[in-house]
Amino acid sequence: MTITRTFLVVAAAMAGLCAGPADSAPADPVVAEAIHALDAFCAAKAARQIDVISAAESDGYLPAGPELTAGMVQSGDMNTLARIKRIGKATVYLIATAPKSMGDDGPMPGAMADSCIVMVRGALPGLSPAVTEWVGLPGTEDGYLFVETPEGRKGPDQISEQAAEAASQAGGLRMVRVESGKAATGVTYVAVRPPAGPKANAVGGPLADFLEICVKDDAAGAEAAADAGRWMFAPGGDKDLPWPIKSGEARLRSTDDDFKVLFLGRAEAQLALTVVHVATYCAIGQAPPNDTVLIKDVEDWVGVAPVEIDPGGARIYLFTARDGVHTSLGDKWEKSLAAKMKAGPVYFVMLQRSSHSADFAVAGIGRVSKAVRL
Amino acid sequence: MKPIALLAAILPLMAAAPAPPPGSVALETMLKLCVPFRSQPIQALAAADAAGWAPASRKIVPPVPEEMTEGGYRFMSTRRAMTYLMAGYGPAPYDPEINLSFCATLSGPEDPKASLKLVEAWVGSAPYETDKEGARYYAFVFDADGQRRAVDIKGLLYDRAMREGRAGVLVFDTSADGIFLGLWTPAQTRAA
Repeated sequence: MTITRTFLVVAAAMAGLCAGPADSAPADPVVAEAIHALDAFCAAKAARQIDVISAAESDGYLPAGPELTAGMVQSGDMNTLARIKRIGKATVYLIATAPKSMGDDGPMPGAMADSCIVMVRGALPGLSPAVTEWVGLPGTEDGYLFVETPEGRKGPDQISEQAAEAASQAGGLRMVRVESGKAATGVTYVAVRPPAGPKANAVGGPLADFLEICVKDDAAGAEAAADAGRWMFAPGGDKDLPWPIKSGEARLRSTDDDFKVLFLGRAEAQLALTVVHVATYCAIGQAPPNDTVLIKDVEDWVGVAPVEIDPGGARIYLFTARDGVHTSLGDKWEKSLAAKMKAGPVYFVMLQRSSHSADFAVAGIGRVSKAVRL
Repeated sequence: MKPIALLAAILPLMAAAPAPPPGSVALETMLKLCVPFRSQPIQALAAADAAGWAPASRKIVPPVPEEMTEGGYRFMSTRRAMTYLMAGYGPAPYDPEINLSFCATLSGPEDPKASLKLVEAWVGSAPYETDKEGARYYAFVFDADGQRRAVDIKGLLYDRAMREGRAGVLVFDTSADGIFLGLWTPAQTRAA
């Protein structure tokens, strides 16, 4: 479980720091500061790492020495930030971690957790009752589980299952636990980021982006989806566009763990003795390491054989789509293309692996708008 | 210190960039996000977040400096330029034993000569060292009014400014596929 593991890692790191005697009989100001940190940094900032640390620094918290973070780095918790504040002879530690997967056995499978830990070395008997009072809800052996709602903090017994689910999906699910070890006593505050749902797919994984932006409504809403998904414009984004785009613009999207390019424009490709025109062409360029994921997923989604494999390695598909079923135009596509276009939409798909398009895999799609036999 | 070959490495399609626009996005970014929050790199990241910068993957952006102990990366792209922001704590470019806070930008496309002129006008001095790869190192102190004054990095004035949190080392490098501009300043007093 994320909470316990992080706490133990921090406590272990702290044990090395605390060779001397623990703070004896901690005074109330230490508990008060811990609760203040829990409230003003962890809870008020929904445990978001940069916001937590930024607020703490503004409140006089200082960077912790490298000794503390060294233990965490060794244990793999690379993305952890720690700050400290002296309260008399005691030191209050504030540790914030970047979002991490909660795994599939937590309260919300597939969700991410932002964790914020407030701790002091040694025993701090006043902390647990103060946290109980601060939470204001009954807890269990495992701590406190509640949702933040516009009406305030609600425990499982105070809210309907439906309302709890809605609050959780809105990012309001919280877990709080007081833990004490030999070296330290602390409280961990976890804010749960729900897994990406259909709405989040607009900015989700490679296939999700492809379907949401490029496939949905034949990319009619691609530009609006790009704006909503914070795809950024690029310098020179309207120049040197990759084949088969003739004109258009590239946009970029960067996240914690991914980098993508979106191409929107007009495409034109000569296949055999036919020039295929696509008035609205939309493509996703995917940087490693997810580049192969994009190609595989789109290949699976297309589900038909390519009609041509370009010498450069691009795989070209021409198919019709009816009730979600794709039917390839087949080997004799040049003969049937005009008739198929009269009968309904014919789609052009181009897949290019990263080895053939510099460092990006590209998957593009568009409805064939015109076909000219040479 | 070896800055990174990045922009064209991750975005080959942008390698044939348009003619660089006037000015220096690298310097503008530094003045907006690094200088006001010098010695407070997390505040620089928070300010970037507030200004709409996107997160950047550690898998894509190599750590600068390589032994960064904590910090983060951000990304911003416009029709004018594509820019990475890197802020955190790490070894000084001139001495790996000294831990400093740093804030750096990597931006392109940008005209190196024009950028250098603007950067040196801001620093107000020539580099104290230029390495074999062409990276230029500037040492200075911030005066009370924020003006930069060149100092000898091995001198007493620099030592004193380090203790007072007013020292700065700026690195300008064009060996990457963009303009790298890094500002190293004393870390906040560590209380532990």
